[in-house]
Amino acid sequence: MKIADRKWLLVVASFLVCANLVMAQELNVSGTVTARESDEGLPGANVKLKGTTLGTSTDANGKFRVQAPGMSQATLVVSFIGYRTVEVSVTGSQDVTVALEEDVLKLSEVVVTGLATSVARQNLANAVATVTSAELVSAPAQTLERALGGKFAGVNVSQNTGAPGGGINVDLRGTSTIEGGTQPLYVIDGVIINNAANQSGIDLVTAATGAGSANPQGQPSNRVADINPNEIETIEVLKGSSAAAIYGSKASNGVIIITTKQGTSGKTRIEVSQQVGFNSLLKKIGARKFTAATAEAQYGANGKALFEKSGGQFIDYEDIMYGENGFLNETSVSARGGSDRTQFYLSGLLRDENGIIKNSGYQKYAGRLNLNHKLSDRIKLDAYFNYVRSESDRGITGNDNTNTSFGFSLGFTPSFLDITSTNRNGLTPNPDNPAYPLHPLNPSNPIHTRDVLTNHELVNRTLGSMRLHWNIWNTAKQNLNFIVQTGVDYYSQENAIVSPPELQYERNSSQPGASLLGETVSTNSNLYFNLAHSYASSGTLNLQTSAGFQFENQNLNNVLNEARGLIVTQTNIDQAASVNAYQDRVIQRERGFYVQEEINLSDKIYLTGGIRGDASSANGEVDKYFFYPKASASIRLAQYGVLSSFANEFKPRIAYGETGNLPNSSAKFTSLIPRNIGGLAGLLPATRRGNSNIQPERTKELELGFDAVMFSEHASLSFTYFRQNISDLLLSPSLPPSSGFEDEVVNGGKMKTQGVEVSLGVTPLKSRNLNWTSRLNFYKTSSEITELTVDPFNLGGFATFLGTFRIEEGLSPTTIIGAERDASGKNKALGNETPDFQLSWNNSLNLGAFELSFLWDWKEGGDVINLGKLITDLGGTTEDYDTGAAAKRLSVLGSQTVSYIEDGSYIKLRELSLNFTVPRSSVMSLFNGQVSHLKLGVSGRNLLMKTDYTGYDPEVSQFGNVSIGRSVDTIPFPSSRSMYFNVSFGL
Amino acid sequence: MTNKFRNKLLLLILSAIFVLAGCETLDFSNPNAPIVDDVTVQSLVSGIEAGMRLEWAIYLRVVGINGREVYYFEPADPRYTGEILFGTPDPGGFLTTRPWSARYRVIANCRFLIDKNAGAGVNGFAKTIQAYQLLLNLNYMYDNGIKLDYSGDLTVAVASRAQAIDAIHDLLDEGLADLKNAGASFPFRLTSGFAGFDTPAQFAKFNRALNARVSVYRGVYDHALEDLAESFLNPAGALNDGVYHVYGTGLGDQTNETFENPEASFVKLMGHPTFATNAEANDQRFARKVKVRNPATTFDNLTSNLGATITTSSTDRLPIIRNEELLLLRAEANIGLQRYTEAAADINIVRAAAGLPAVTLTAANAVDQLLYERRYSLFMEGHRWIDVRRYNRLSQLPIDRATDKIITSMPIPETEVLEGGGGGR
Repeated sequence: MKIADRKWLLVVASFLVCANLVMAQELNVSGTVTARESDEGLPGANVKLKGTTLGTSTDANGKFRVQAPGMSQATLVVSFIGYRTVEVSVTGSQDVTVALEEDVLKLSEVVVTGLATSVARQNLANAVATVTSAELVSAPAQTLERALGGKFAGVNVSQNTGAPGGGINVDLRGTSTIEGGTQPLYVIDGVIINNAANQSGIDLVTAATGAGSANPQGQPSNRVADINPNEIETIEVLKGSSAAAIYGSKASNGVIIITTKQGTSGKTRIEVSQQVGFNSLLKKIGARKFTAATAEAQYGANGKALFEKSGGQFIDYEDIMYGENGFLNETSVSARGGSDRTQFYLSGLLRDENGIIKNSGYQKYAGRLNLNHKLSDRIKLDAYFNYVRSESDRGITGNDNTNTSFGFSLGFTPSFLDITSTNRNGLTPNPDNPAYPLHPLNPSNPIHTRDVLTNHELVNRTLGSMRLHWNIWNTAKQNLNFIVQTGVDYYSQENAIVSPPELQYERNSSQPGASLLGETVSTNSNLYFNLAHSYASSGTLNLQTSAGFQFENQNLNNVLNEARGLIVTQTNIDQAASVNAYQDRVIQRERGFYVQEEINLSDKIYLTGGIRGDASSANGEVDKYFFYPKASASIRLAQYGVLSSFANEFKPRIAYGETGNLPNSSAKFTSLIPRNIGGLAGLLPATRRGNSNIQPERTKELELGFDAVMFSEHASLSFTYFRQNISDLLLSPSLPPSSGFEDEVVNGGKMKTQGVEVSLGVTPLKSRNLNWTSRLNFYKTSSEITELTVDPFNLGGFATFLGTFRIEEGLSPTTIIGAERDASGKNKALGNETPDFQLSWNNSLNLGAFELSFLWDWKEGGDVINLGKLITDLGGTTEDYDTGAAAKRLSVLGSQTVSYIEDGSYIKLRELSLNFTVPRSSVMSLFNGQVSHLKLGVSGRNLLMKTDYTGYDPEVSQFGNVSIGRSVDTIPFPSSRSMYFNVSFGL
Repeated sequence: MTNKFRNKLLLLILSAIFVLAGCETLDFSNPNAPIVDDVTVQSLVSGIEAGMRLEWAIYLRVVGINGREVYYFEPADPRYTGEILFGTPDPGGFLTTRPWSARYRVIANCRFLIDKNAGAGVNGFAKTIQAYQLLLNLNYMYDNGIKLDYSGDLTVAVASRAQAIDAIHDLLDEGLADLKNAGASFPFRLTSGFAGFDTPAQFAKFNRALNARVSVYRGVYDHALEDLAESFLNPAGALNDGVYHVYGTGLGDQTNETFENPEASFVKLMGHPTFATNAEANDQRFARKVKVRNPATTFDNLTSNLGATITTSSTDRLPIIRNEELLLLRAEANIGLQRYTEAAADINIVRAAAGLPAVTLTAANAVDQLLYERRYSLFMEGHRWIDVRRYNRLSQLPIDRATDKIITSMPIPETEVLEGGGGGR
């Protein structure tokens, strides 16, 4: 049915009503809200009287009743998440039925504008991206961040490693810092959650941080990975400063607001979903095939002898190491229900995933209970409780200075050498475990390491939050609400690494065998008091004033014990010859307040202004308040007739905002650190000098854009240009080491980042049985350092000749340089890590009972420093070695870096799913009415990748979630593709 | 309960929460570490001893590779068989920067100690160690000079080699003067690495031993003999008597990173092949310091079958200066003064200990013989490159790959000089 038809019905209905009951003194309207597709009642829909603060929500059957003394007629505004908002004129005492239509183009969404307020998207004056549950998990994702990939314009989700359990970078609107924190703030049901990436301690086995770089390189997962994507109702991404300013000095990387599913009154509905599938290696990089002559040239006389003994076989080590078809299993159950006063949402998840490397995998068990309770007509209480247990086994991959990681070791394993079994070609057996030979050309046998090394992570996490909503005062024109929100995020993380003494590299140590036990305990808590006042004057002016206080605390304690010289078969840290211990605490506290005013003129012009002030213990001056203002304006021009010939909606908007990025909590301290000797406790200066004047980095952002809805609501277009001026950049320039210190954190520069986001949504086909919705997201950004008060410096990577990034006035901060210099002695720019653009294409097609959706993700440009290739070149095992290419690369090593810098463009089929909904009649007869619906399907993630990049995946970051220094490849855990079969049904 | 009463109660509870939440202060000290003002002399002294070991393995490898004593076959990092053998050390690379920085970190601790005004003993200790740390960096950077200014001001010029060696000499003399006024004992404890050198009087002998090395480097041989007379040189004593870095596995301690199991299927630290071909027959030092392996290892077009065995475990000590070097320093000073008989006496003590027959020294063979003995006695103790360089014989070192070069010095780290400076040779 077309919209016009519906409007016609409504018009007729209201005329009829008006004719009958013109002069009633009291408005007393009752009715039912239904979903147009199914004609079933919609529980929990909002019904408001336009131009007043009065309203209600529908009960379990979708029924409602509104009374307004002293009014004779009014307009009802009926809205529900995921449906188009409808306005209906009513008079007197009347009974209406309002059918809502699905909102595929998200035209009626309500978007948060503050800690206690929200606005309809049609009025919103800045670009806030949202995603709903259905879009989020159309193909199962291991972790939440992975599910976000490709779904928004202005958001770049990029994995650091393919290892189970995550390690994913989420970047909103380009480079906004050089060395400050990079990850957005995650707020789940009002709790600011901890998203730390806690090091596992594997660095102590690989010594990855030992030589070239001081940055931790354990490629840990970041803790937002614990969140179960299936529990999420909506995600709102506050990309820009104008939207995020209310979060003050924690918001310059943006804010991701997650709302979990809520209970609904009425019959309890149970949903069950079961997925099974498998993981497999996404891409192979190949290996060199040897002859006796090349074996001798590469490994000397010994190499030739080994080649001849082996009979010149070719062993595909990628198959052996990365060839597992890891089994995947996910069971998800949820129940929603409740009475008119109390509603609940209960969910559980069990996910078990085996990796493409033997003994690697990920498990997650999650449970959630959300309760909403009406204490009285004026007081509402919401409580959220979430428990997660996640476990991962990640093996040993990535950079390494001991040649124990899988990728490095295989790089030094020629394909003719059989290290998988004993004595096949006369290798010396390992006396401690004769099943594995000693690797004659490398310090470790990676097959042996894979089979017996443990790198296990276990997280137990509890998230709890409460919201009290107290309607203190309520008249037809005015409404005053007091909202208290408090939450706690507590987790303990255990990392257990056991490197048994029988391993080849351990045998050669003087204390063979290592057991590392790390324990991290983290508590985040926050408490918000908000006061929100709204004033409505009969349909023309609507004012919302809000203000509040915020208290935010963070406490993290990390202890790592390192035991060496393990007693054979034992893994406890006291079963060892020596133990070392490390501890690090993070304590951080913030205090803040805000005030905000929103002005809505006839739903046509919308203006906001606000300011947040906050103080933090991380700043040099802890008592100093930093202020973050914001302002925005939008006007719905189509309502004034502009472009209205083809546009249903045309809304230019402008917004300005400021946000901050706090320095690391230890940046202000000059400290001495322990260096003991012979039982005496010693202290040496830490290499970082403290800066007692350090303060937050500041982003000032202006965004301009428009939102348009065109062609009878068949298309929506959103365009945004943003320009960030970032000042007081947090930098850690080198100090001359002769001062005793090596660096210091300073506020030392300015940067400009700008970009364009275009989001186009179309519904080319829209009918009762055939629906096609297609969305294109385009995103382009670039940055430039505009001022530097410190000397230009190199950042990231391992060394200049191995590729690093240049921080210099006039350059993009993601400029890659190497050993090459121009005539004047300056380092030549060899590439740029920032992509030229990103484009994603998301489609959903409904044909009767079939539903097909797919998501393509295209990154164009963005260079990667492929040191994985250097490793295999040095090991003599690169596939193209015998073409002379490797020799050419190696011959200029030290004077030429460009041969290891590659274009990281890719096109990936991120998600694909095909579902079949079994017709209701069949379901009813098949299960005797016990099952309400049944859906069967197949889905996949990362099914295809097209790239010229020669490593495993151009999505890579050895150094984890850093702003500058990403896209350095030292052979991480390779990426996998996953395929699922799924069945889901309702009870 | 009435609604009004309930609301009042609610308000009361909420304000209580509000007050409680506001209590915690934002102002607190570093939860992880102390500041300089709060710590004791003992922890700074032990920090110095511990810090002297930082990056010592890198220093020894680089000096060993530059002097073609060893190769370091590091599959995980191309630089040990790359930039320094190619002759293009990177002023920003870790081979350059890390040993340099570690020495200045120790010097910072020495300066903190001196600032504490904790008496002549503490000052004498701090100055002696400071001078030694400067000497190591000067050995590394040589003609490029070192920093004698610790302010971090990049406009202050790098001190030349001549200025630096004089300053080191002066600092050792100042330290000696302090030690002489320091009474009978130090107000702090030292580890077993300083066993026999842990009173001011005994420590002064270590100070003079270092100064003897400096005097020989400066070519003031008569001074060197005076220094040696006040040092712990003992022709009748064990050659290994001396001062050491000690290693351990205790909490926060450091293990000896030069240790490798010589029986391992792959060994990184390998003796240069000429260490075998140039060894005199039956030189016991050869068998003690390397192990001949079969098959030979080929890595990055370099081949060796000599596994270095300078340590037997990861808690083995490493020498700072020892009696054997002092004997050879005295021999060298005497050669410099053309007293070949006296020189031969010391050299023959060292040779006898290595199971070799006595030699006679002449003006023609004395330096060759001295450098031979130093090469085999002090293998991988950080001397060969410096010795060959002192006698302008770098060009005589072997070149293994056609494009390799011998370098004279490591560059000044790029972070020590204004943009465009530094640069190795």
